[in-house]
Amino acid sequence: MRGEGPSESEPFLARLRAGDSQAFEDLVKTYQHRIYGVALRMMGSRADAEEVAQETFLRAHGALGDFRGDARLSTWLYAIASRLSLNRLASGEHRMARRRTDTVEMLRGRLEDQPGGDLERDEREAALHRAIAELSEERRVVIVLRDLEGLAYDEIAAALGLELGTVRSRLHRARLELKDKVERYLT
Amino acid sequence: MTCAENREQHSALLDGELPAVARARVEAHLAGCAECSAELARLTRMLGMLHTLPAERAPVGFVDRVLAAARPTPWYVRAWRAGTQPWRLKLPLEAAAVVIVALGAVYVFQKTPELQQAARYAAPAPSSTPAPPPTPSAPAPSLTTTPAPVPTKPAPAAPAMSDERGRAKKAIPPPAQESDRTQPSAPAPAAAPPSVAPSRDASRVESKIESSERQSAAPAPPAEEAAKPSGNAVKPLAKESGAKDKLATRESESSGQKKSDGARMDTQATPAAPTTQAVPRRQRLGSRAPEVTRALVPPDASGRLSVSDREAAERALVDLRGRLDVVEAFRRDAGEGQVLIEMIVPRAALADFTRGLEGIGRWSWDRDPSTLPPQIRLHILLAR
Repeated sequence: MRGEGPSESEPFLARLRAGDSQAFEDLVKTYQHRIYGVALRMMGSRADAEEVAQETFLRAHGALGDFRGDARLSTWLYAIASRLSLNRLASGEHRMARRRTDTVEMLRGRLEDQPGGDLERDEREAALHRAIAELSEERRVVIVLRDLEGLAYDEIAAALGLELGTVRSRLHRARLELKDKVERYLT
Repeated sequence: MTCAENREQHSALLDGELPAVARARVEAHLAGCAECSAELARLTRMLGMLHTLPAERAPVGFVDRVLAAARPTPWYVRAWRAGTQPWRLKLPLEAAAVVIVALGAVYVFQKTPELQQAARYAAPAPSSTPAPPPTPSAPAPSLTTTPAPVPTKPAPAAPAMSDERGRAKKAIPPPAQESDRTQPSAPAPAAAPPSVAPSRDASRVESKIESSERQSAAPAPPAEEAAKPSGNAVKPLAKESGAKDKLATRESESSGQKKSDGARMDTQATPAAPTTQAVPRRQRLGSRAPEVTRALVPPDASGRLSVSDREAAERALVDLRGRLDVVEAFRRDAGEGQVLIEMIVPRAALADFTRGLEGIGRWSWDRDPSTLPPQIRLHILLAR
């Protein structure tokens, strides 16, 4: 997993459960980028991603009193963000055209931000972004959680409510599909 | 292990998720299979690319927006949202609000006589149309008794309506004293136009009275409204004659509705009330107004009694009235030596009374009542 979250010690969790606003602010500050990243990879739109990320923290804020600590706090937040994203995508609110457009815009903006960067690397990244965006939602979410956010198999299974074998096979299929899409950059 | 089986395990191998035994088998196959080894190398490079992707960053101000949205909502806002946002609650609440407002409007209307009066005047007044000829069945005004339809009318009256009617009658005098007495059930619109010009000629007054009669024969207004003026009519008559008093008492007893009104009638029909109302009306109409009105209002029945000796016939009539509880309401000179007498004859006594008339002289019906009210206004033209 990229980086470590804030202290998930029992005192910190107790403050969160007690409704300590400062503890909640620390939680948001610590995980905002990661949760937003998951939402952006899944939704493909910055606007949708911000909505999902904000809703993730609001849901967590409302349910912190019931958080038992069986899973890590970060895993719990990833689970909320992943399910919110999948529900939104399944509800038909999201349009693939919009997602692709936003993805291209996102990549273009990144390239413009790094004018002196490695052109080949940027092109490779753009190809990867497109390939991820073209994955099915089921495959995309396991790729994002595993290869971009670093969750373990069992954490992904718990977050998505899947069997471990399902996570394993779904992740492998997703990787093979991505490899095929960016084959020319692998030589 | 086949190449396909081996490649299925590449992801788990790279992630360190394979058990030791399975890992050993996969690695043994890779050691002897260049294609599978190349495939694993490509997959490893692809994962390397993925891991080098820069992390996304949340937009500026994201934390502030989250914290603002997470602030506790005031209780009244939560209550308002809970009551208005879900349709399953909002719709019933709106329906209940409409019902409450409607009930409130009805309550205010019932408790506000001015509103009822305004609504009554706003409605088209049936008496404003030309009055058709009176029918024999219509109750005629009487000096001594209340009209016959009163006891037969339904009694759904609300007290507030009665109060309002009483006030309306005080504020808007009816066209004539007799119409007030004889048409207690006439609705206010019929009485309202005369209040604008109460001193018109008798025929105009008569027209109004006939309109009131028609309305009293139609589906009736609340019986309590009818009962109150009738009480006013009975009281002054009691001063005139004991027989009239007796008759009025019998009449009021025959009216179950009046009895049911009980104390309310008693308190409203004070002796002073009819006097204070009647005197100004008499003054406005002149001293001849009662007679003119009575003469113009058609009786229930009429006939001609031809006698040779008028004085003897008069005495016989007095005797006959005394025996049958018949009341003489009024009399006037009809010219050419004739006199018109109005008798109030109880329906049960009509047959005996007419037989008595035939014994006094030659009696012939001019107008035979098709329907008989409890108290029949009978006009007798006494002629030689």
